Parts: sequence; structure tokens; C-alpha cells
Amino acid sequence: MFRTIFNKELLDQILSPKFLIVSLLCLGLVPASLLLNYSNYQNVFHEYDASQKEAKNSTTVYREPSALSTFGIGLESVLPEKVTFSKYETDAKGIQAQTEVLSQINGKLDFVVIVSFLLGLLAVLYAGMMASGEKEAGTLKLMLANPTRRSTVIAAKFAGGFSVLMIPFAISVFVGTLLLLLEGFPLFEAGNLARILSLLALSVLYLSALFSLGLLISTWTHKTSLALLASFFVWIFLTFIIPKTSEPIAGLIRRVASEEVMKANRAQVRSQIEKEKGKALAPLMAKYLPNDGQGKWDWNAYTGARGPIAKEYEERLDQTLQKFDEDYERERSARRALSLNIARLSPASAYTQAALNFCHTGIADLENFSRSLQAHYIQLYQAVFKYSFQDTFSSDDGKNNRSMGGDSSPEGKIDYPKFRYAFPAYEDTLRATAPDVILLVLFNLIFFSAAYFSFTRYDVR
Amino acid sequence: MATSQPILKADDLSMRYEDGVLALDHLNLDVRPGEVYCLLGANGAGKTTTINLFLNFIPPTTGTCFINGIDVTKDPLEAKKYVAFVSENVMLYGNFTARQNLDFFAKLGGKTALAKNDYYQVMRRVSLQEKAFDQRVKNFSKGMRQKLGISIAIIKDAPAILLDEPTSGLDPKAATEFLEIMAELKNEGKAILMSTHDIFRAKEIGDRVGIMKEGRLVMERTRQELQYEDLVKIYIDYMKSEPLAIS
Repeated sequence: MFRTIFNKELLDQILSPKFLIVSLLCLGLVPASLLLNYSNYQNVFHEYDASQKEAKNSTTVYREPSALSTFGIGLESVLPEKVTFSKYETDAKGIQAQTEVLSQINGKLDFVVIVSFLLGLLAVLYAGMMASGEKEAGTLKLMLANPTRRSTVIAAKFAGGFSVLMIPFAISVFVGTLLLLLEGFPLFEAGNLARILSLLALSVLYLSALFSLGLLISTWTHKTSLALLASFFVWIFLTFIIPKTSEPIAGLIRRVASEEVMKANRAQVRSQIEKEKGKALAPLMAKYLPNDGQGKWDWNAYTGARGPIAKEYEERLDQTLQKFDEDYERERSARRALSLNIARLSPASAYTQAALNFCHTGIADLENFSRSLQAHYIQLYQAVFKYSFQDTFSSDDGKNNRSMGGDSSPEGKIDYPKFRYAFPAYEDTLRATAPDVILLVLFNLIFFSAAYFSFTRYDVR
Repeated sequence: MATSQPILKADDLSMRYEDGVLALDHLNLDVRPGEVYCLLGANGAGKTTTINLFLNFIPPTTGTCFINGIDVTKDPLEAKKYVAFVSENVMLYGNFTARQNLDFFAKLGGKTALAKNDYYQVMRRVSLQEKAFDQRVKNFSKGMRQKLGISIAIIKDAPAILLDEPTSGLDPKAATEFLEIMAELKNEGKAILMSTHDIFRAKEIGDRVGIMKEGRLVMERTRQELQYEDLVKIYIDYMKSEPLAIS
């Protein structure tokens, strides 16, 4: 009986005009987006490759773009291509995006966006008509007038309908991947194949959750028009409203100062300690670096004498700024985690977060990149920054201001540490995506079980 | 008139909906092999509810429906093996051809080993045009869809057939053709329960005619009795009569 209804569902859906529309959309959009994004990736990679030569012996580092951004751009476009470090400030444009990451993703058309938005909508609408459509056509009554279990009907309808949705999806992915291979995409390198297969499996899991949701809506309604309208609104709520409001809601629950306020506070703390240091060093400056136009400067004596006095202040400044940054990062991380968890109420968000992690353009990669930058900063500090100094003296009346900068590094060539950004390992990505995958499995179970029980009580009259 | 055991039997059947409306009030009726039972009544009289109860689409509040002696509520899957159904608006699967529709419902009804010719034969029997056999049903007229609906009932070859206002919306020619097929099925020994608004055709085809009002079977006449009575007058008199006391 299952097979009979499954085959009927398969044939009925394939013969319907909506199958043609879905097929054309998939075949048009998926390969085109893959080719376009791969071309963009190649351009960015060439720029990265060329800039690597400049990166030697400098405090500027470059981030290698991910080839898998071809499938999901995600945060690729907001993460900095290069980061220039200085002793107390880091110029990393785009790192600010760490706080409000959700609003930064899904900006450009790519495979993940196509699955999350377009195919997600089609899955809900497709399934939304399944029970109500049959009721409206009177075929459900005819079907159930036969010795057929309702549980068999709903299971076969799900399996048949979902298989039909997967046909254009599978073909478009196959065609797209084939075209990518012809363009030279490194499919079999660096674990890309495993990641793409994981992404596809995740997409199927997500689409089946939305298909089950559509089926549930269908078993709650008795008219196709109402089912379509309800499906559309539910889709808008899950795909736009929840993800877009999660950050403001998290912001209300956990208030975190803005990046600008944090920088201003940081600068104030730094200025205060620098001022204290300046005051402590003022006698040495006056002694060894007189500015009355009469005395002779003894730079070496000054740098030698300032060390023990400045050390206390510099250590305090390092510790204070480090604590300041750590506290701010902790608050920001907590808020980000809250916002991401709220967003996870939506299957679309759970899917996007997990899918982008498989593409190396998700939140796990952003955090990994941040950690890499922090580690590199420590290396740079030990090799470069700890030797440089800037002493500023300001008199109380503000009339006498002096600033002295220098380098106390040992003689010889500075050995700049090399920065090589390592993408998270596949196992790490799996760990990072596990909550989202579990959620998608749960969404599947909840929606399908609800649809199943709702259909067993569905009024077919 | 058939005299054997009833294939369809409603035993003290009542149905009260969740909103409190009493749709069926202690209905007793039976249909025997080779008998056509026509249920007449206004909208909301309980005709369709009776059919829905026989098909287990809704559970009765009290009473029992039997198909071929099987309690429909207790063993619906077994009971449904012995009944075919034709609804008022047979839309069917518009993207399928007539034969594909027939094939699907035949398989659901348990007929899994039918050949193409078996389907064609049934469609010929209901006078569906040959050219329509492999045409998509979405282009069919209501009459053609209704004929296909009967084909579905015929191909199941069940001993009982339930028809819910099957001639509604059909032109006179199509309705006459429809009744001819019903007569053939009756002669084959099928027990047919048909709800209808069509008093003339009920009188023409029915071996027994029951009039329902407010969920009750208020009158029942046999074909012989109706030879000497005016069914139209009886029907109108019942419809005009005072509302029944609520039981």
C-alpha cells in the first residue's frame, strides 16, 4: 500500500507544473551561483597569493580565503582580508562584525542561501498543499474509503513528495559540481569532498524538516489557499523574523557596550597609565633628553635608565588592557551565543549556522580566526612589540608636552613570526555543528510526528 | 427484492458533533444484496453523515455500522474491503489519465494484478469515450469524471456501494446513463446505498426509499408501495412539517 501511494505521489508531483518551475529554478540558480562564487573566490585568492609576498617581515597578516565559500559565502565577505597589528591596537576591519554576526550572513546569493530561502520556501509550500489539496479535490475521501491506514498515507505522501523535491535539487547540485570541476575547483583536496557531502546531507535534513512542517500545516487546514497562506507566513516567521530579531532581543537581555564606546574607554585607560608613566619618567627625560636647547641628549643613557621605571607601568598597562579586552570579549561572546541560540529556534538559522561552518565561512571559523589572531599577537609581542616604547610626558598645566618613541630591541634582524591561518579541522567543525544538526533532527521528529498524529485525526469529510 | 443478510446495516446509529448538533438520531437501516436504497432529504438531514459513518470517516456517538457483518468502528480496514464509494464531486488526480486514476484506486482497493485491458473494459462499461481513456482527467467534464468515479467503484468489485449525491450537477443524459449503470450493478447483486436530492430518480432506481429529516429516518417506502403513492407529495409534506422534537 505504501508503495502504491508513494508511486502515485511521485508521478502526480512530477506531472504537475510546480515540478517544472522548481526544476528550472534549481537548474538555473544552483550551477550559476556556484560558478559565479567560484570565480569570485579565484579573484580573492589571487589577491591573497600576491599579498603573501608583502606579508614577510611585517606586522600585517593576510587571511586565506576558503574555496568552499563557493557554496556558502557567509562571513567570508565581512571577515578581514588583512589585519595589521600594533602594540596596543589591531586594525582588523570586519572583526567588529563578531558581535552581530547573523545580520552579516545571507547577504549574497549562494548555495546555502538558495537552500535556506528558496528551496526552504518551496518545501513548505509543496508539502503545505498535500493533505488540504487532496481533501479539496475529494481524492482523500476516495483514498480512505479503501482499506488504507492513515499512517501509511501520510508516510507515503511524505516520502513521495519529498523525493520529488529532491530530484531537481540533486540534479542541479550534480550539474553545478560538474561545472565547478571543469573550472578547476579543488573538490578532492583539503577534505573539501567530505565537507560538501556533509553540507548536502545537512541540506536534505533541513529541507525535510521544512517539508514536515508544511505537511503539518496541511493537516491543520482544509483549504489549499489557506494552507499556502499559512505556510508562507510560517516560513517568513522562521526564516526572517526569528533570525532578524534574535540579535536585538539578545541585546536587550545582555547589554554590551558598542565597539566605539569600548575603544574610547580603552583609550582613556591607556592614556591614564601612559600619563602616570610619563610623570615617573619626566626627571629622566629632563636629565638625559633636555629640551632647553642647552643640554646634550644622551639617548642610550635614557633608554637604559627608563627600563626599570617604565617596566612597572608597561606591565600594568598590558595587564589592564588585556583584562579589558578579555572582559569585553567575554561579554560579547555571551551576547553572541545568546543571540545565536535564540536564532536556533528557526530551522533556517540552525541550518545556515551549520552549513556555513562546513564552508569555512561560519561562526566557528570566525572564532577560530580570532583565536589565530590572538595567538599571532602574542608571538608578535614577544618578537617585536615588547621592545618598542612610547613615552609621553604632559605637564599639569598642559603647556609642556613631550613624546619619545623608540626601540630597545637587541641588535640584529628582527625575526617576525609567520602567520598561516589554519582552517578548523573537519572534526572540529563537526563538533561545532553538532548542536545545529541535533536541532534539525529534532525539528524533523517534532514536525513529522505532529503531522502524523494530526493526520490520523484529520477530518476528511 | 433481495432477501438475504444485509451487506450494509446501520444499527441505532447516532451522531452528535462537537458543536452539539445532532446530525443523526437513532438511525436504523439495512441494504441487502441486489438492493438499491435511496436516502432522500434536505441539506443537513443526515444523509452524508450516514455515509461518512459507514466509511469510518467519523466515529458514531452511539450505535454501530456494519459492512458485510463487520463492525466498521472496530475493524475499519477489513470492513472497507467490502465497500466502494462514489462521492458527489469526483475531482480525482487531474494530472493523471483516466487509466492511471483507475489503476491507482484499483491497487488501493486490493486489485493489484489488472491488465490495461481490464481498465479499458470497465471504462467502456460506463460509456466513457475511448479517446478519454488516456487523457488527463483535468480536462474532463463533470459527467466524465463521475463515470470514472463509478469505474473506480466497479473495478473494486465490492459487494456494497455507497454513493453520495452522485447525480448532482449532471445533465439529464449523464444522469440517465448513470442510473442505467446502477441498475446493472444492482442486477449483479451489489447492495447500493445512495443519498440524493433527486426524488424522480430515487423513485426510478430505488428498491426502497427513505426520507431523512433532522437526522431521523422519518419514512421508508418500498418500490411496490410507491407504485400507489406520490413520492414527491410525501417528500414535500415531510419537508413542510413541523420540526421534530429533540430526542
